Amino acid sequence: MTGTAAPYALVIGIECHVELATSSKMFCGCAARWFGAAPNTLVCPVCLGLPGALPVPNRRAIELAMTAGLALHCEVPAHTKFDRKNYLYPDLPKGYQISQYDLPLNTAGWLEIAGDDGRPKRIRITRAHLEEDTGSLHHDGRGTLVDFNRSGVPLLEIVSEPDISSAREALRYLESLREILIFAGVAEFRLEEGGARFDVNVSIRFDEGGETRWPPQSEIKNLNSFRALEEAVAYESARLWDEWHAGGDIRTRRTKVTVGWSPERGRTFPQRQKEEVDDYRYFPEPDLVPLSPAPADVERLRAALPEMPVEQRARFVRDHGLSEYDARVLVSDRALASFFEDAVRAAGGEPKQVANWVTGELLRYLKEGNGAVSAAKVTPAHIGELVRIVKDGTISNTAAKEAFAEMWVSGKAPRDVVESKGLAQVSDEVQIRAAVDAVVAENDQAIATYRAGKPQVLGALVGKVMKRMGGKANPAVVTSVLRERIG
Amino acid sequence: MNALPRTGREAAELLRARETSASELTDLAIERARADTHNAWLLVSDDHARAQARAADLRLRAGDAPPLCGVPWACKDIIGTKGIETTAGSRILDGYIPSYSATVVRRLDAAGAVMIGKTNLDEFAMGSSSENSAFGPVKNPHDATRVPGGSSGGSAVAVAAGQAVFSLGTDTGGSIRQPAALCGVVGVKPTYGRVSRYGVVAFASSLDQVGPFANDVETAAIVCEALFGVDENDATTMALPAESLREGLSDGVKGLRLGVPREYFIEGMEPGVERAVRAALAALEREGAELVDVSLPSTDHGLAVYYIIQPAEASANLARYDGVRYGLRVAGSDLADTYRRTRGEGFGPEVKRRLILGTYALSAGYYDAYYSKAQKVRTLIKREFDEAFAKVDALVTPTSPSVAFAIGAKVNDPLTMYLNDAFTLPVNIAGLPGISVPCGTSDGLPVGLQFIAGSYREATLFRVAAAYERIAGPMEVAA
Repeated sequence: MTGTAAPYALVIGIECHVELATSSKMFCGCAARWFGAAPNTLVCPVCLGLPGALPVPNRRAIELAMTAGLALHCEVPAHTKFDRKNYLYPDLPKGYQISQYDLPLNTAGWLEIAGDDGRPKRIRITRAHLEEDTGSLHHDGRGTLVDFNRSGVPLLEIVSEPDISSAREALRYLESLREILIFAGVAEFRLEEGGARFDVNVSIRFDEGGETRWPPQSEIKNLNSFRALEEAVAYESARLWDEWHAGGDIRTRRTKVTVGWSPERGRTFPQRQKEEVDDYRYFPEPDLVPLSPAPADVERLRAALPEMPVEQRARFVRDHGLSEYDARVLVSDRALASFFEDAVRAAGGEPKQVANWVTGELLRYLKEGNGAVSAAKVTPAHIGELVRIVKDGTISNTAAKEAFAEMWVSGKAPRDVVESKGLAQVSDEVQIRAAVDAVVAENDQAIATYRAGKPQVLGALVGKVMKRMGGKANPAVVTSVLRERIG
Repeated sequence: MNALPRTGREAAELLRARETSASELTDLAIERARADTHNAWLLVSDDHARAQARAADLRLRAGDAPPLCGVPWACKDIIGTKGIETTAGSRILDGYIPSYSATVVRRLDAAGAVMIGKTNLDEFAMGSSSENSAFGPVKNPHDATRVPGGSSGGSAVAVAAGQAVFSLGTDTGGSIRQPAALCGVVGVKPTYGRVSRYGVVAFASSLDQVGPFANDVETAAIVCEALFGVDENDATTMALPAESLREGLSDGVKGLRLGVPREYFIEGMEPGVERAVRAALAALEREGAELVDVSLPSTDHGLAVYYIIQPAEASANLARYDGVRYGLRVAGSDLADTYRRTRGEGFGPEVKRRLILGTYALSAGYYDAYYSKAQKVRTLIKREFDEAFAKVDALVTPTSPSVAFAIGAKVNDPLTMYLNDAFTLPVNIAGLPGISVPCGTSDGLPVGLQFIAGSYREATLFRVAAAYERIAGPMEVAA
């Protein structure tokens, strides 16, 4: 915790802008997956802000934004609307951004993280509203070029209360947010593709001469990775502290400062305060009609909401008796978690065995093949069956792994693989007794040792019987027959 | 043939009787438009019009062509036309060629109508006299020393002077009805949400509506039938079943209750206008309408509400003209300087005045006192209309307090100029449909009579207006 070393407490609030996982943009039919597309190929009159163009709201984006809000325990207001946020910048083709001002789609939510003291901590969410993304500027030797592919991509801006007390808590907050939004199917949160950006408000609070000091915060704009966030918070909080002690402007200033972050130089830098940006002159967007989310629609979205990761993990530990570790691995991927649960049902229980197969063989093969769970030929029903036939002694654990390899390639059911590859165990005592007799006849020395009080040689003898039977004997039966024969 | 047919019906009959062709009508309209001396046209798009006319002739020959097929029309230059320059009367859009057509243009294209060209207007539709065009003022065909009204002055003149059978304008506070009145033609402002605004250069989004000019009510109704209907590109359009606006045109006014709002007969109205309107009221009563005295007490506040909401919305709508992507660009020393120079040189004084007003009204600390309060009064004005329409079928008022005034007379006195719209802008504030029909003359200049109906009650509006039109008789086509 930063606070253990630093002589001040940190107070952090985060505004997170996340692209919603829609196929089209917020107010037009252009494709929303802008990353990597050739410049200005995903554009139309609407997202170019041409004269006469009008926005048409993307219903799916509104549903996803509401789903996100429900997953974050937000309240859904009876009335919500879009507003125009006015400012001039070349990446903003209309000269205003369609956003939400005083009636956002989601208010007053929270999410839970592990606090720095190890106890669960709720981070309150002030609001989560919908808006459109801007274009992007590209500077080259000749000047600045604008690419409008990103213009109009739906963004959800999630604003937290200043409940975060360290950079590590900030990271846990964002990781939790990311997990929830991905799980809810709302966003892909691909940071490497610009799918989420953060503005972080940082302030320091400390005692000085018996008085509490809490100078105005810095807003660090447009961070695009967890690492940048961690470094920028550390840098900026130390800078505020130093500025205070150097008797800087921070002692008299009443308003926050806005800074950018340079990852190359590892420091923040003041952003030019544009006069016109101080007043966005918000007013209701007259081109769009206000929304009144129908309670039935809200309930439909709520019912469709999957169990959230934190709850699912707890349930896996509680109901399935899994370790925290296994629960975390399974819940890291919504598809994997449901694969696991389906397999448990198919196995008729045995969650620990199923978890071993899923986190072991399945994940190993998936990783090697770089594939998705949904594309695997091995199904939850197969895993369930595999667990069952290991349990009832039809095949050994070793043979089951061999069977899995074949199932992975061919997609055949376990019983078919066991049959075609002859993997079934022999538990027939007559066959086993014959093999035991032969091994006993050939190993006088070892048997003498055993009888002399060294039971550890039994393992070697079992191995010889198994080898003689081509590895297919049931080791438990072999052991008991052998013991009885030489005991 | 040396004159265009006066009405859509005449044109359709001539075309179907093979007494003329779309191509002949188009050539005639082009010739008349080119010969125009009122500065009504900014562009005559010959090639485009002739190609449309040839296609219309094929459809007419094949039979089953819609009523507007082959009929020449004029388009206010604030309505976007694919491949054809659209300036909104502004230097800042000089040379701008849209990549797509407005929905209204596409609908008229689909109906087979032939667009002759683009008409002059007040810059971005901001004005009541068509003097604020970057391309020179429009003159009234009844008296070339006078204004035609505005902002759709060019479209009103094109119809009044027989250069097109109908035209389209836009009406934000009276910009169709007032020039219709001053030029002696019919002008319709439909219910907000009836007609798509997609592709129409936005002025004040919650007030703007496209509508027709014509020489008679029936032609206006035919055009409205082609324009009306939900558009997936305009989220403010309403999905309603298609209805005939012509069926009731001959039903008359007998038994209808017509409200006469006392606040619309104000001091300062020209006596000639009041005389003509009172005569019209008496005639309607003789035809069997019941005249009902009604009160709309908040009418007085209409102008104030309008001059807050309209410039506020305009200040955002016109922010996109920054010289970055299209239109005029005047390079400066840096980005902010380029913005300043481009907008400084690109916009005329009236546009700047409204952008400053609107920006002020939305500013932090002033929003509640201006914009927010204006919206509350807007609700009040709507409610008063609703209450009136619980008692009457339509309202009857003068369209404008004055007849056409001299060019230059009010241009330096914005407040007096704004008063021109005092009777028309409450209709936009309330989102209602309104129509202006010719109502005789005062000192030889046309007077307009306005009917207002409840939301989506255009059928009633056309019925009443057609009944009055039969009483008044046709207006002469202006020189």
